Amino acid sequence: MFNYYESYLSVRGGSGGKTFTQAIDNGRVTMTGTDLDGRHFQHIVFYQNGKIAERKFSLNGEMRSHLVYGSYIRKADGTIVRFKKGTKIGRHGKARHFEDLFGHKGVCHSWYSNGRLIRQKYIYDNRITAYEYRARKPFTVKDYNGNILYEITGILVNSYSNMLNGCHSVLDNRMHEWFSETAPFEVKKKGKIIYAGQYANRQRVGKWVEDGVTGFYEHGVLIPKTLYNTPVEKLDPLRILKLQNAQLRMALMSKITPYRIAKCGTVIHKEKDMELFSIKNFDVNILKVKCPTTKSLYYLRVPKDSKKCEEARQWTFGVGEDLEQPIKFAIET
Amino acid sequence: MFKYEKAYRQGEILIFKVKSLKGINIRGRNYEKPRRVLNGVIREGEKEGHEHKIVIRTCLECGTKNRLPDIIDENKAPVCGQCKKPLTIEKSTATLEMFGEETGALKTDEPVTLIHPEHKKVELPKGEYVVKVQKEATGKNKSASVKD
Repeated sequence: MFNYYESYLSVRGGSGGKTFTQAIDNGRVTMTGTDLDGRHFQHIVFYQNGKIAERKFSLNGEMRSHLVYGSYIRKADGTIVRFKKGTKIGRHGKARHFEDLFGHKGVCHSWYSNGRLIRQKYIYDNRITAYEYRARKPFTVKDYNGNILYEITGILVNSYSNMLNGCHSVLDNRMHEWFSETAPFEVKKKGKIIYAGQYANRQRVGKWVEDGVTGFYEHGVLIPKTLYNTPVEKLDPLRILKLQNAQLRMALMSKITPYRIAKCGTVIHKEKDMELFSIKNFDVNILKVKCPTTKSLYYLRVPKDSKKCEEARQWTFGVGEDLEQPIKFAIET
Repeated sequence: MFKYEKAYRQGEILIFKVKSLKGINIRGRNYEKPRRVLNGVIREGEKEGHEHKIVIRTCLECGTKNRLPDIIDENKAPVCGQCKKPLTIEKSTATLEMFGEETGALKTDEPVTLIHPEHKKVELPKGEYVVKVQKEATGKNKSASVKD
């Protein structure tokens, strides 16, 4: 087990799961063998003053990566990322990668800070700059002849994976893969918005434009424009609860205050995050539940004779019909 | 009625690990001829890419054991980190059959993963599973599967 700050080598496994530890100040550890997929590997780690200074990794005799901390990392495809002088650790630096963009050859320069893309520039082989992106600043994208293709606002995908997967041009993907979810984005072509949107909690929210077509989202759910623009006080919770689609119900109910929801009916039982509502002149009761992943509140319709939240929730899983006992889930997401 | 060993839930999708699918009536109320689902999609989402989908982890092309992210990116089918081939269950040992919209059967000789862009992944060990969809009441003594 290695990491940059560890000047120890720990080997685990073998008979009885025995472990031994060897402190290393200066030296080298070489591991060779075959991995779980039967490929021959060699991993050499060099230590200097109790810290890892260099790592070399090869598979089936081919060098896959060579990392010299504070200097550079060279990958199997020839990409070199040079670290900023003096940073010693981390993935600060610049990469250069020869590749195609919009069907033309060129070179992509990328700058990283802590592994995050902060700047990217692509130059075609005829020396025309396709684009130069600097974090958060609007920029234009030009075609091979220097004509403006797109005007872009937003943050390009800056996850660690760009650096790890070859430092490619972010724009050499489909348009919906260009942007980070952390800020609103917009792509204009000839002055017309062709793609725009924003996320909240990984879900689409607000106004979106895709291929020039406008849509409106709430909690990741596409909702009609008229409903989106309807003032919240004019939305009728009882009408919303009658909608067939559970996600649409969730999205619209999320706009209504809990006070107004509570006024629709009476809460007959409460349990953890759940609430069971009984509503006058309604064929069913309403069970409010919280999604464990998105934390969105869903309003599920359960039988009118439901008395307890968990009992109603279990009914939705088929307990009493296909299953006898209440279900205990090993994983719920 | 059937007995299960372990239960998993991802949104409205319920998965029950059973000892054997033999003898279990999983055809549901609306019996239809079993439909083999090669792409592993249990349920289509309202939006493109928002589906509950079974994928493999070990690439059939290069044998790489992939570690999938907790939540996959919208509209991005998971691919092998090494050879970039899609990790669909087609051609793998996993078979998914759906009976209409509400129930299904999954058999697999290798670990598979249930993915969705809004819910965390659910890792399923090899075995036999009953697939069901959560239901809700639509009126007095009437119910339908949850639609989203």
